[in-house]
Amino acid sequence: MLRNKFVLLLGVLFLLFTVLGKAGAQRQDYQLAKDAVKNGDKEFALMHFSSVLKNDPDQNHRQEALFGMAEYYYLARDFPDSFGSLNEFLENYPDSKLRPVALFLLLEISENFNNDSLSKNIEKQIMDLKRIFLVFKEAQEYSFKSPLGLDYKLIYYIDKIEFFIDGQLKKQILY
Amino acid sequence: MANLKNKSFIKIKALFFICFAISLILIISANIILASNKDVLIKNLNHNLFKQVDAENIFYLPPNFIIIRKFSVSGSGDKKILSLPFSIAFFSLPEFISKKHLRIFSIYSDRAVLDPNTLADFLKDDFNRVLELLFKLPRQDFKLNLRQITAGVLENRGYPAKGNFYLRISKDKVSLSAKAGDNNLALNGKISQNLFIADNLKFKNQNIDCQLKGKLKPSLAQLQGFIILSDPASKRKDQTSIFILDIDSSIKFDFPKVEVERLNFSINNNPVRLTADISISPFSCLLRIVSDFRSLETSKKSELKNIEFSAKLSSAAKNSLTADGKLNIDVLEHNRGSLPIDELELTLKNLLLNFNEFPILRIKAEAINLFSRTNTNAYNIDLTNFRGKLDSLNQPLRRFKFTSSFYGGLIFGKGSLKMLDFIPVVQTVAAMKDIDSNRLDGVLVHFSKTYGKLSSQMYLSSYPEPVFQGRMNIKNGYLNNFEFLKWLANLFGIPSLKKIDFNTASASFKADKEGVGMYDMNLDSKDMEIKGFFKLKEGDFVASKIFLSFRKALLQKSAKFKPLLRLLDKNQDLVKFNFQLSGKLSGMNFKWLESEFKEDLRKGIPNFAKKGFEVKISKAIESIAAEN
Repeated sequence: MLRNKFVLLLGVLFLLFTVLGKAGAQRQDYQLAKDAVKNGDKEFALMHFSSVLKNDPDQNHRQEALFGMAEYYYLARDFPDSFGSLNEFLENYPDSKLRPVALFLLLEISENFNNDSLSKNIEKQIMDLKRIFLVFKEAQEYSFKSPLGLDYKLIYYIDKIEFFIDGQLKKQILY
Repeated sequence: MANLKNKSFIKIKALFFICFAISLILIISANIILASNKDVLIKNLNHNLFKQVDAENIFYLPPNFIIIRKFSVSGSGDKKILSLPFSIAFFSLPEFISKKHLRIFSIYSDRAVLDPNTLADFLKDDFNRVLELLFKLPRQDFKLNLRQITAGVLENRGYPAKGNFYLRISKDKVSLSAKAGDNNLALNGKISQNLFIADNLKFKNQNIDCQLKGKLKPSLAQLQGFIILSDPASKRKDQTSIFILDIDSSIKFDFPKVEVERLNFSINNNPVRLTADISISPFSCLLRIVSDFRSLETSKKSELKNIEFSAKLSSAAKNSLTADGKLNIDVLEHNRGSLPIDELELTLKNLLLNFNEFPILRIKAEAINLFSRTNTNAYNIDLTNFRGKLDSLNQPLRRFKFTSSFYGGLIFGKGSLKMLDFIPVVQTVAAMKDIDSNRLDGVLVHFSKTYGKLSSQMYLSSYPEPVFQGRMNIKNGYLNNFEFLKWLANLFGIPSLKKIDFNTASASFKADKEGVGMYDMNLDSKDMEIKGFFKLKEGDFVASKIFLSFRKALLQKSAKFKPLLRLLDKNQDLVKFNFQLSGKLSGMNFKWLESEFKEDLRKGIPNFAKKGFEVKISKAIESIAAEN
């Protein structure tokens, strides 16, 4: 009887350690990815983001990991993989603050694919995303630091939207 | 010896003379018999052809020729259908001698004259009897060869054409070929009791390539085949041709009634179904055409999905046609473009097409209604007492004029129409006068709140891109509960803005593939002025700048404005409020543009309060916009 209880206790402890260990591993993966980004090791960051996606059933950092991977592929000009990751990101996280950035990256990729109808559709989505009111200001600015360490900036004017990466104008959409 | 030779020669001469004399007597006798029986022969032909047949002279020439001079078949009113100035008929001499039966096996004629109008009338009136006659013809070998036929000038419709016609009947086989200008017709088939089987009917010219086969009875025609229509002027024939394939028809004849039981075919891979009940004389027709357009593969500009046309057509006075009908067109979703039309419906009431002055066509209609539906709105245009005139129907470029009553006023215009690659190219200038602007709510819903007499000049062109543009002005009217003014009334807290009287309101407008828009808008009222433009682009995206000027006295009525007015220059009588709109129509972006009023406010409000002021105004605009 006592032996049975001991076996049960061992089982519970094993499960507990496994779960806690895994959660720790996820945190560790994401932290490692962030550290890699800080150190400029984008390839290592990609590996850790990939681990987060594999080992994060609770989706704690899936959003950042997915976007980070899409960014990596985008920077590496692996547009098909970046396109897939960005689409997955947009589908799974429609309310993310990074949505306009994801759309701008997708727009550049679709232009690279020479897919005019897709580009037009994405442009419409970007224009439809935000409504602005400019009383005394000339424009509204939004800045984002990305999981892969890129600085994104969006400037909404009344007649255009400008998209910057690391201070460089990448795209302009006219209303 | 010489004497014997002389005697033989005299005998031969005598024999020759006797033969010649007998032949002459026979010829003269035959010709006398023919001449005396000419009337009987003609009467028989009259009976069989049930039309007036005449021949000036009929001669016999040995051995088996009959020469006929000035043979003619006349239709109603003694108009000649066919005139044959000189014909030779070949008959079977052995059969004539042994059986005393005159069997003509071949007819040759030169320089025949055919009147297509009278022939058309004849076929229209007696088509059934013609078919019955053809079926009753004795099954014997026969050839008919008409050379250099002149098809008489179609009554004001075209030019005489010269051609040849050849018909051969051999037992039950029939072959026919005809050529006139670049028109070529060929027919091969078999004829049996009350049934003609067409193995191959071909017709070809510059525009048409047609091949049909099927069965023809006096009471039924069942034909299958194809027709390809191409524009000879087009350089892209593979892209512009119309392919009418898979024709499958069943047409019942019970003259004067014709029932098109089934006429199914595909136009460029789009199936079409047609049914009709036709009465030939007097002409009337109940017509229904339904097409489920999948894609016009050869035309990348295809925008059609479904077309349904139903009409009752009937002949009125001479050369006139009346029609009541409805044409319904559904447009493909992915091709809606900047004018997102889902559906178009054209309804005609008491339409009269008068061809009396051909090539001029005169058109009258008691009412014409054009209804269209977009994904957001429905549009309705009603024309009453429409009168139109289309010139030069027989020319590629047709000019037209029209006038019609239109919502309490008049619309009139002129333009041109031509077909290019089978697509109508229309260009027209038109004007409207003294229209009740609020009754134009079917054209644009905002007119329901705009009162006054509207006049306008317009230009419409369908090629190379569709464009509709012009300028309109409304006199001595008022805007009542206009959405934009309601919005302003709420924003500024000035209820009197909901109804604005004005002396003149004018604007230019343009609708093209880029979108629809109003430019140079100008409304001059006692208390305010509105200027600017508003453009709605593809996908319902807006581009607009509006310049408002209010009299200070008006703004004094606003509790919201009173404190702000204190910040303004006291000498400023007009307060200008200029703004720019962009983005989606349902949620437009807003920017307050620079003006003296804004500058005074900027100066009057301390920097730390500006952000709060901006947020307040943004919220106010957003809340009012959300309500609308």
